[in-house]
Amino acid sequence: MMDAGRHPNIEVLTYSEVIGLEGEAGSFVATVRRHPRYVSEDLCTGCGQCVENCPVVVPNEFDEGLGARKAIYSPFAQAVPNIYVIDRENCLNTDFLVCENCRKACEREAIDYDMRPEDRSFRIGAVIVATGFDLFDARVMKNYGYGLYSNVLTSMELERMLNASGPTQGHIVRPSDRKPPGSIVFVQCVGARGEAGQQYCSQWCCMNTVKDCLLVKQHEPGIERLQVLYTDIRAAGKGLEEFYVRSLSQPEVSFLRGRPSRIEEESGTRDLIIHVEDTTTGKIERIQAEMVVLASAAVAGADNRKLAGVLGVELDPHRFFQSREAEGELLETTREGVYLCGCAGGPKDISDSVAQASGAAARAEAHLASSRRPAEKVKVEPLDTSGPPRVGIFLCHCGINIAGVLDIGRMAEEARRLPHVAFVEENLFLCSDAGQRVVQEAIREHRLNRVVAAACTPRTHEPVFRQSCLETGLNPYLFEMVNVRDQCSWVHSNEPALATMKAVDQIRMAVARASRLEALDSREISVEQSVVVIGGGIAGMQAALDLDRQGIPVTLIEKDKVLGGRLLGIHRLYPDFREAAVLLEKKRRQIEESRIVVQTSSRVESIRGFVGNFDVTTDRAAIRTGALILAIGADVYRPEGMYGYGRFPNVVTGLELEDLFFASEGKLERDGHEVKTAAFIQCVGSRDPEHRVSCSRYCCPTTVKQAIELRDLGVNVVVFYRDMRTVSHGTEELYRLAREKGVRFIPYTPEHPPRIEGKTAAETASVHLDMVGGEIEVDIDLVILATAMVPREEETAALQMLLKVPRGTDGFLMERHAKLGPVETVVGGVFICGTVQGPKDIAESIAQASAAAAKAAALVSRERIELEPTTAVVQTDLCRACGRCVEICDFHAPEIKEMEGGGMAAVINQALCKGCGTCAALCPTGAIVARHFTDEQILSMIDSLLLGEVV
Amino acid sequence: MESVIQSIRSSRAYSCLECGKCTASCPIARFNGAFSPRRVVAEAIERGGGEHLLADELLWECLTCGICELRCPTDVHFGALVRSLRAAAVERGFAGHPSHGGVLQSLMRMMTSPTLKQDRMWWVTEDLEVESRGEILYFVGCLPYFDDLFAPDLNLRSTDIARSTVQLLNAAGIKPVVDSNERCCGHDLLWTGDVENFRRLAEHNVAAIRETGATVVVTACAECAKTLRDVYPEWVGPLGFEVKHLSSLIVEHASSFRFKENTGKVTFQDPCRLSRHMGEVAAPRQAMGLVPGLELVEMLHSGVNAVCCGTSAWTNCGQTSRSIQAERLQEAGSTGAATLVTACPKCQIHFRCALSDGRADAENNMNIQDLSVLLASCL
Amino acid sequence: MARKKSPAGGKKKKEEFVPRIVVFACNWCSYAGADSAGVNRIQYSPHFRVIRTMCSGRVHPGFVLRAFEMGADGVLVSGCHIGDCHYIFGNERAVENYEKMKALVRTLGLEEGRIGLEWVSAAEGPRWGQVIDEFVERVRRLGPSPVGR
Repeated sequence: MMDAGRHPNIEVLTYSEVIGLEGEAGSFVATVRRHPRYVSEDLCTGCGQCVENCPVVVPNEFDEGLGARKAIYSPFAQAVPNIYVIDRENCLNTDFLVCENCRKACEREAIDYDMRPEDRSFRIGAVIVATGFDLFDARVMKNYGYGLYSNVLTSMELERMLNASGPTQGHIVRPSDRKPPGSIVFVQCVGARGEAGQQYCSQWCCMNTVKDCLLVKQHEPGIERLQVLYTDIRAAGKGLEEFYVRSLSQPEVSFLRGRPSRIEEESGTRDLIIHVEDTTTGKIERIQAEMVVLASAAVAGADNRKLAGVLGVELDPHRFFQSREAEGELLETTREGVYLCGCAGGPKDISDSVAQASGAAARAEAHLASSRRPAEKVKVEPLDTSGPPRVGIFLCHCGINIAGVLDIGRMAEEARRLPHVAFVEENLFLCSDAGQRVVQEAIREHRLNRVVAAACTPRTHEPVFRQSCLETGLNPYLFEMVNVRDQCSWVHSNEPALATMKAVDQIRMAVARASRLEALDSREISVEQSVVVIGGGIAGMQAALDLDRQGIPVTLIEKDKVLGGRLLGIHRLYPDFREAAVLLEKKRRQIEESRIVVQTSSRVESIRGFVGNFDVTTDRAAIRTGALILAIGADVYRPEGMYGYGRFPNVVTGLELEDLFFASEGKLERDGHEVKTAAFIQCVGSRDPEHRVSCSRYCCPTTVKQAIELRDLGVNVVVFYRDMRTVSHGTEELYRLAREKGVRFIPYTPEHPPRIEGKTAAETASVHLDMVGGEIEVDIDLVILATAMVPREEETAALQMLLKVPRGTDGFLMERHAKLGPVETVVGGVFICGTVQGPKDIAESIAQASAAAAKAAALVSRERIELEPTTAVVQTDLCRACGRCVEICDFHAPEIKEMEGGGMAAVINQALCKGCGTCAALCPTGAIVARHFTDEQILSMIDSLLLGEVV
Repeated sequence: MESVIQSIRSSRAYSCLECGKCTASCPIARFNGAFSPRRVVAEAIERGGGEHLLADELLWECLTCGICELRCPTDVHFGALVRSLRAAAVERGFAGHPSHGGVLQSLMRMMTSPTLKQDRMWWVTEDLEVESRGEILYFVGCLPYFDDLFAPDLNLRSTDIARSTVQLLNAAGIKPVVDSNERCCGHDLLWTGDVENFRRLAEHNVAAIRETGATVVVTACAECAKTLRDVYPEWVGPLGFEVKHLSSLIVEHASSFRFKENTGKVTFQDPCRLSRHMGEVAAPRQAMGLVPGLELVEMLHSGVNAVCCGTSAWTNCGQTSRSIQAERLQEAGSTGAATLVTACPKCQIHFRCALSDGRADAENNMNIQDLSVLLASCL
Repeated sequence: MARKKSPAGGKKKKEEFVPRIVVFACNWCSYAGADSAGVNRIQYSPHFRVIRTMCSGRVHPGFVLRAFEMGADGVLVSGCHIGDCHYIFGNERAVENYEKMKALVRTLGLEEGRIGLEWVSAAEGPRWGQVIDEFVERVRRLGPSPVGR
């Protein structure tokens, strides 16, 4: 929010509504109605005086009604912009009555009761719909007692309780008696997967519940039982299965497969009784719980129909915005120039939403190519920072995230005693607009030349503070951050006194370092305004197309003779059984019609250079480019020796089944025999500590699709599964269809996997099933193994070596951040999309490809970029030119050169240096200075810590 | 400790004629035009050792090699002056630029801790005969630490010097005391102004040596020898034991040695501390003379006129040091000798470092060897 | 480079020895892992202080020895897993440096357990907590550093 709010090219219109959209893609005119907030945005400083004086108290919607707010309010603490708004429904100023307490309280005279709605027109090129979702109203499912029994909550209410700055300060309490519950039962699929008329799966609720279990345990360590009643645990996505497995290891957490029939309240205790069948044993359980949390599903926004009417786009049967998914375009609505991302198109988790958001931006940019401009730089006169250090220390409460554990008063007191410290101040939310203004004003007023913030982590918030410093003219490298939240209050909450001591020490160390920080100026380098996409599968093709539409020169490199990659081996796609060839043909044609330079039968031999300036050499050409998109895809696990694969000719992988589909005409044949009964085995090589812990995500929907295709060819189908994880858009509906068509789904556990037996070929499939108290055996003539998706080992390793893009423990290339940077890598100018990043399906790969294109475009649309100045430099007089730095630098930044005044010395290429500082640690004479992490700065922290005073 | 003013007086700075002979002799000034001993003296007199002089980074360039003092017509003790100016600078929070990330400085300071129980005897192999009490004590110095720090990069085993020294002593019928409680002599702390910690080391070492009952202390390091023999008495009074460099002891026991023939051609790097500071020019040469067939070819600058190895006290090593070393190695190479022998482990480390970068301006084929290792190899 | 005085007088209460531990954490993996421990609300020992460097390869043996000189009871260096270094082989340089420190620390007579080199990835929040807990406990058992004055 902060980033968007501060971006010079983004105008944020809150409390506003689109009421008209005329024209066509590239030249729309949108009419926006700004609702009156009765508070002037220009005058309000967010001081909060009005709130204090408002006499009206109403439930706070943001806290799900668990907390209270006034009639003049800011919805939540970090709101952007932090401007108050009057809720006229509850305000006492009506036509007949006058209160005016807020108006009198406002020194800036920002309150205006006569404000009227205001319509504004905007000439725009494209529209992105990102209106999110509403939460299912759990009252509809009367048997669960929500709204009737006070100790039945929704997951969103629990979320607010878990929030340290929420209505209960992070404590879980039973609404009936305000006591912490000893047990909580979570009920999944409330309003989803067939409930209350909603067929789809809400996607994120399983993981949200798993997360809640872990969080509740931390917030209320005394809790005895956390039980989850589920149908399938859908931990499908990168790293999610690993998270689920971790929750399984908690003794208090248990999972029971079964959906409750009803929930009743016990009179007196007001505990809840849940009636549910344990479907693994067939036993009906009567579970008592002190609190029940309903995992309420995401439903389409209430205003979707109205907005769809205004925008002239269609909704799907669930009232989410209809995408052109059938054509593989999850990001496109039914009107050209109007794009879609996040949950507006259906439920999805945060990383998918972020990837889609960037993707939608890429699509929208195609209409804006002509008017693109780089972010404007704010020009500020630099402050004079000479003279002795004057350090300002800012202590953030982060609501009660920090202040609830650490003794901030004590920290402030200790900080005031430190040398060089000219100013110390506390703030409730330092990262808020108001908080940042406090910092800026203090810099000016107290002539601060160093700023220390004790708050959260520099990894996320250093940029925010640096920007604020920059805006006042203070060099951003004179800012130092102390992590007293993520690495202190959050992790030592049981020992507040010791945590405070730690914070005090770290602040002292920071002041020592800060007083030695030096102003650094960013370097500018030129950018080659083109992109190379490596990998000509569907992701690479899409990324190239998006870039081309924005007028950016693209080279698409494919190792095979033709484009298409994995898609070439797939017959039909879910969820609508469209032939893959049709999608492929469309994309190929688009590429043919584009200016994209396609190099098939090409292999990348070397990549040198750095952000904005890469030299890619293939066996056929040398290309200079500003950015790289890696889209080399993934492999399918070879299940040698598993379930008779390799021994029995009729045991095949899912991908091999596609080959049979290509050859099928009215019936499915294998080696001339018609297949009558087929068995699928799920999770082959996935969710298995011996192979891969992770879930491969694509296999459940693929199996469901293939099972339906087999049924349509008259084949009897059995699916041995653990959890059916049909989370991809539209696939839950397919799962239902498969069941309706008579596909048998038989659960198995890892302890009792299915057994495939036969003499020369697989003949029977059997599995132990507790529920029926024994074995189930099926005669089969085809076994299909739904195998894991695994990294292309050789190629992925080669890219890692060439570009230094790290790989995760799962072997896939690692994104910069799972949620905030899903298509970026830690290497500047290198982006990833498709299955090279982790298992995903076609539509998801396409959306991610667009996201990577957007990020690459944002880079190469600039002629020059600024690079971090935190690099290493050589003090020539101390350099013996021994060459140790040259020897150890993997980025080839240092070089031994003849100096102007004679003599030899190392010189570090500032564009190549990544700032790791390793050379400084290996330089025998200390000639190399790792800027911003100098020996002096680091030693001063050590000394200040251990001497107990700032040196 | 003397005040700056006192030391200006006692170092005879006031008698300076400003003739510039010192600067003309100075190996640093030869490559770094900004440095001049004469100017340091002049500023010390004019400003009385004020902030300006003490803050000057050039103060840390001096090698304290003593060549300027040797040439000075009015006998100004420049080394002593630099020593006390540095001590005053340290008092005010200034310091030189430490090499090797300050590792050696930290080691020296940690060795002042009385509770420390070092594990520094691991170099004593079974063939060596050593005692824990006795007449003659071998003061090893920091050789074990040098191995830890430099062996991987310089292909150098400094503890070979220690083993060779014990072998030589054993050959002379001496079973030396080797004391596990020995600490760094403190030479480098003293010369970089950390007098407080130097005093601690001096006191500790003198007490520890007395504890062993030794009456003679022998060392293979020129700096240890100089520090123990000449500096310790200034700080802790009469020692109660005699201090000798290994070369002197070998010469004294010349009759005990029957060295094998060695027809090699060597040249000798006189360590500053041994030659100019202690005046021991003859002993190492006489010791080498005991080896039949060994040919010693002198460099152009030798004995008290020898040029320093270019770095001192692990401080302010850099381009100037490298240039001094390159020139000195060329001088050594031009003698036609295959081996450059020295009698100070530091000289060896610095020359080896210069050779390790493989640049053409040094004589790459020059072998560097400690006197003790050379002699022990002829036993 | 300025340097000052001797360390503040050692540890006072013998019965309740609280080790003084300096932890160097690389920005990309270990520091991120420590943040991730926070996000996951993992609870672990507060008896350490962190210095962030961009890479574990930045940690000069001189930093570690300086910490001991100033009275630290233990020093832990933490970086990315081998093969995962953000700077490719920075952590392998950290290993080289660590070998040197280990030798020096041993000769000095400090127990080897007072230094540690660990790999914690950005995703390993729980592991970070575990690594810290184990190191703190190890140093606590060793007692005060013999360098203390």
